[in-house]
Amino acid sequence: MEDSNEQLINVKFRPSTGDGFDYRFDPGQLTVQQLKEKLALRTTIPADSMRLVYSGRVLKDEDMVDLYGVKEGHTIHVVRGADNRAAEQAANVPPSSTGQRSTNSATTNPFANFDQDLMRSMMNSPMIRHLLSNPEIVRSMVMQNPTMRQMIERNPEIGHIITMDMARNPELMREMMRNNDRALANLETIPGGFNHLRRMYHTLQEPLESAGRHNDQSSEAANRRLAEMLNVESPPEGRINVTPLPNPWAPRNNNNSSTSGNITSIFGGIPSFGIMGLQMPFPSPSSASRIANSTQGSTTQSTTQNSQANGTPNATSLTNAPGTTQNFSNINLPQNLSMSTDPEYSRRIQQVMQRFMPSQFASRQQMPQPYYPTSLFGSPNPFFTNMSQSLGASQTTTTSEPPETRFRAQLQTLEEMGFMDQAENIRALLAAGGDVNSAIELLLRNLNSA
Amino acid sequence: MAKVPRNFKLLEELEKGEKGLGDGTCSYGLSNGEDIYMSNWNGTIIGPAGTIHENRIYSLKLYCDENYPESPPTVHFISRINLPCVNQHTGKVEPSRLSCLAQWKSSYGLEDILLELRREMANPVNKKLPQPPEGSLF
Repeated sequence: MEDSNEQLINVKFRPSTGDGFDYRFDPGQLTVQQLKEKLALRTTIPADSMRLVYSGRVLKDEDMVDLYGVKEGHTIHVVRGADNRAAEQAANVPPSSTGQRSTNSATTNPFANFDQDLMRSMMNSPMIRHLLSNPEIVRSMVMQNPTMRQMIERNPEIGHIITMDMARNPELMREMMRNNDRALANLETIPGGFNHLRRMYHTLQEPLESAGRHNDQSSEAANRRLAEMLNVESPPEGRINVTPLPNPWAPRNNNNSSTSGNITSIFGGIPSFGIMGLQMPFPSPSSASRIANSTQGSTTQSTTQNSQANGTPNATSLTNAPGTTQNFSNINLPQNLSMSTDPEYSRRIQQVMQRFMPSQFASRQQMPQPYYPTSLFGSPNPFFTNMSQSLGASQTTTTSEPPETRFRAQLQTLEEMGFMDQAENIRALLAAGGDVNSAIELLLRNLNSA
Repeated sequence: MAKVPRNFKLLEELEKGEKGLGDGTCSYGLSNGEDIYMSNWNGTIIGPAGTIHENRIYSLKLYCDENYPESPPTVHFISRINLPCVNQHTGKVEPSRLSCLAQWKSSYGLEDILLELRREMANPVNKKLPQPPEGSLF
């Protein structure tokens, strides 16, 4: 071969995992086996478990490469064959976390507040590993802490949390956290899910939390009151819970019906709000926003009531839900739960209200600093922001200014966007409570339907 | 819609197959590079990960008659495989059991068939089916 340069071609190699690469060789001078040996240097696949696939054919080791008609610029697929390390690796994966996973997803997450990285590095240190690999030592360590001991004695099912295996493995840990979130989300959608959540909270979250705090029975008591209020009974252990979710607004007959116009007592009477929002320390932001959503109904209703109390029926038409007012008169809020029995409780409710309607409360009185976990309400939660916006908007609509002046800025924005019909714009803004984005959506919908 | 002449379409597919422009899980090309009618094709499907087919490479032959792409090609497995849509005696992919063959459109190509077969392998119903030893042929 005097002119061997002529024979060199550039071929793309494309492994099934990772990036492809170009390799220059002479297909007339190489057997497939030899080519594989050269490629093995550039991939993670050893030559004897490498398969080359070109044009729908698996290249045979003993053939010359040019038998297959590989040409300049063509692509050969590089595949790992069956007799390889991948199978071994798959077999070596520690007995999958499925067992742990199922228990974990049923529990709430005790590690949520720890610094994951710190914890992981700590758990990886050989000494700690050695210590923790001995269940007896772990047990005695945990039992040294009197509050933990108490808690475990009271709730034997928590015991399994102290197997620290999952804290060492970042994957497991992340998986656990994620499962936890998802499990909570799923639970709420199944019949009786609320009951189950409540039970979960009782048996795990709450004891864990209260073990860390000093002796405080208030949340216990509040939870019991909530359960009574909603007529919820603990589902029997070991059986499927088919009870539907309780409706906090369902009419109830055993009650005195006087509802005062006082917002705080309305809020106090809606227990899901007070208890879920304030005392349920769910670990993650997503749970927090779910809780927030569950309170949505109650806030809307109280707005309505509030504007009625102020003698401005205008706001009712804004919420625009048929029968809202009627529903409201059926609520029969249980007064026995309001702040008269629990001043601390009502104080917190007022704080929440303050967050929701800053403008209204600002003029009333100076509230004490918030006490509740800032992760719940302090975070920039889009739902809350929206809500306070729309609340603000509904308040402005109750004033007597004509919409042209009230919505001047919004109208200008809409016109700049090319919505030229002012009357239409005003109508959309009114319907959207002054929110430009929703107004645009309405306008576009009208355009489409026209 | 303009009809793509058979040979143009097949030439296009040939280039795509040789240059490996697909997703890399299937490969196809002419069985005989001299075949000017481009009727006989080879195909390979790399077994989807996480199934019993993982780390296996399945070979197939495809035949495009003169009515291609108006009518679908006939497809045979060369490597033995246990799939509901594959005749266990001949290795033929039964057109009635594979939706892309049953509802063939002239815009489909060979790669669509291979990809669909690969999806069948990964189908939760099929991915655990016991398979004949690797390397056995129909």
